[in-house]
Amino acid sequence: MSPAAARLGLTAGLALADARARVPDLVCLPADPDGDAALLRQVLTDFSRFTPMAAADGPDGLILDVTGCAHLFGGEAGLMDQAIIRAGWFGLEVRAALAGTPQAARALVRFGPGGITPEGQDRVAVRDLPVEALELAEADLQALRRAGLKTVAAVDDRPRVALAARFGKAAAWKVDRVLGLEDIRITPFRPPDPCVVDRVLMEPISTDDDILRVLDDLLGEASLRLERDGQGGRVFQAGFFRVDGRVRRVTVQTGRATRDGPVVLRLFRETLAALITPLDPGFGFDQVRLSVVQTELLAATQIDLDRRPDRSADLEGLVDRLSARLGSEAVLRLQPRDTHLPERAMRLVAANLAHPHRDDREETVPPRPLHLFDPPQPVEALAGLPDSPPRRFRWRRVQHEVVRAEGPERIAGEWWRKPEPTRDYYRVEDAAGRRFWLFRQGLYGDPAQPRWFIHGLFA
Amino acid sequence: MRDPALRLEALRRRLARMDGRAPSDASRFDLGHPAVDADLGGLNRCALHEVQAGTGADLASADGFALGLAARAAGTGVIVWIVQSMTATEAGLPYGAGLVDWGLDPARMLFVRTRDAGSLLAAGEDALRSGALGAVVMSIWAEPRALSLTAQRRLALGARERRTAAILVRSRAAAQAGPAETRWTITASPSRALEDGAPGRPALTVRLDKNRTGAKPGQWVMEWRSDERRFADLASVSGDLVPLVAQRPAAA
Repeated sequence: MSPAAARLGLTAGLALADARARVPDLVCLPADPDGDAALLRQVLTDFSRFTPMAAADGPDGLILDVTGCAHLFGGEAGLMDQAIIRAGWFGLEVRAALAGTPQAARALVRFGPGGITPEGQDRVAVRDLPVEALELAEADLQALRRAGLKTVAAVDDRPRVALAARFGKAAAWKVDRVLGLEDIRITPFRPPDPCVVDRVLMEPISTDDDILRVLDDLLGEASLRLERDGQGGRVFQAGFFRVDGRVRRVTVQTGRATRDGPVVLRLFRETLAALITPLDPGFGFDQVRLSVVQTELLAATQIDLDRRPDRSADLEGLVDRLSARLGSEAVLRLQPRDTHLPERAMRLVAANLAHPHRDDREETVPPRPLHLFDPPQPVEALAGLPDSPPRRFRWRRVQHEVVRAEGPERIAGEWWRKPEPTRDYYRVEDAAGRRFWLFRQGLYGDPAQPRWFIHGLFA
Repeated sequence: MRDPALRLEALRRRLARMDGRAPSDASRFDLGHPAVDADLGGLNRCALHEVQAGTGADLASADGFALGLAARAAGTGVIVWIVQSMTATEAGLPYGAGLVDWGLDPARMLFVRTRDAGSLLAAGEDALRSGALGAVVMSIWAEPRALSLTAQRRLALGARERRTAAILVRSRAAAQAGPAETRWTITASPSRALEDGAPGRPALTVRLDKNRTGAKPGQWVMEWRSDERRFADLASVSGDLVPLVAQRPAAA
């Protein structure tokens, strides 16, 4: 309810006809709960700049656990002012209260004057509120009012046992919570990360150089904390909070745990340079947060006395850098798999996720080509007898005379995956010495004509 | 070095070095082909080598030769193979099982796929400069503008400074002066057939067009012996049998 509406004598829950009668030129718009929720979510994302412990509170409230965060924003009063100003930028009219427990703050902001309650004074402040602040069921509230208990103080003065006997245990708990006697933590919107460092900037920044400088600074701080805990990060996330309330998060991954600031900074630089939609600073970022999303134990390493460089670390670094720049689907490692279908037998997997794999398959199979076409490309082939290799074939408008051939190597389709005709593979060499891997799909005599494909090229 | 093949190869190299057949200098590597190695005196490990396909259809052979060179140069080091997506549509994607058959260890291979030539060269330079690798093979498509003289010089410089072999495979290249130490042209060659008329070991016609260290250009037909990880003469039919017989008295 905005102050302007309140001045006209409107109240929430008023019937539309009554409202129209009181204010004839009232503009009516249909309620848009999804839009409201989206807006609230955006505010919530932006407000995670104040604390990682932020959660939505009903359809029209936010609740922030600012324990240990207030000093970053000039104390509790400064933090509250900034929150109100930022909400104003979203076009919202807000009330704010700060108290020792979430329930007390909620009661104070919705049924009381709001504002900051000094430490330890929660009970005193809440006692002045009307009994509605307890937010019990309507029937229970009515019963309390009828009994003459009009304020929270009146309820607080009664023994809890009597209250629990009349209204149930839940009501008694509720009273304790609102009074700040029992402390329940909020469930945050995003679970806090193991290591979070923040930088609130006096002046918004927008150039890449400034952004990287701030990140460098944050990484230095984070690596000190990680070192103290004997941890290394695998996933780092930078959150850029724009002045106008938008938040952009950029994540980098490393192949193994690290707390080496310059290395991670280089990954960020690569990632930022390769973003499909580049980082849009708008009027600038006024806060940057670095969170180490995933950590692993990382003991301090002893450098060799002869200072022999650790090549595997260099290799991991290279994989991380290339994955950051080209995407992890572009940097690949081989992973053998136990299947006979050639296109599935050797898989390329992202190198920063997979570990080197030794091919320990025992059986010997005929040679495989160096290059594989996926999917196989159709060719026109001419074979003599059934099961004999092709005499000649035509691929990409070039006729190849087969001089040497080996085969067939029969590979049955994996019927448990999808029904597929049997393939007969031939390794053939043409007159010029080029070697191809051809297969015939299907058998002669089947209802469907067998078709020929080229599947790979031998060197 | 758990892999017996690798250990055997290391021993073989040591022996060759003792006999004076292989370059004793650690900055050089050879093809494992006695006659060619005698002619060339080995290749510079810390340099850029260019391999070009004779025709568009010889791309696989050129890649094979480049991977053979890389295997010789890298020894036990990791090989990175960088391909352009364009080459992948033309000649297929690198196939793991085929690499294993080529004598390479999948645990010591890394693939990088890039969209354009510019990022391929950047990735190649980054790989060379990491100093963590044995060899870097770059398969580039056609004649992109990004492959300027400067870009090639940067690759050569990276190879020299971090002592990593750089091998550039080009599908169609105009012969131009460049910083490459050697330039090879590879065409597929009919293999020596096995008894039942099956294609034998991969055979290649290898032409050395340019060699900055002086040895004269030449042309050879050789085959790749993946089990020994070396190039060998195609003509020596008895090549497989003689050493076995010769070893017998020593082993007894």
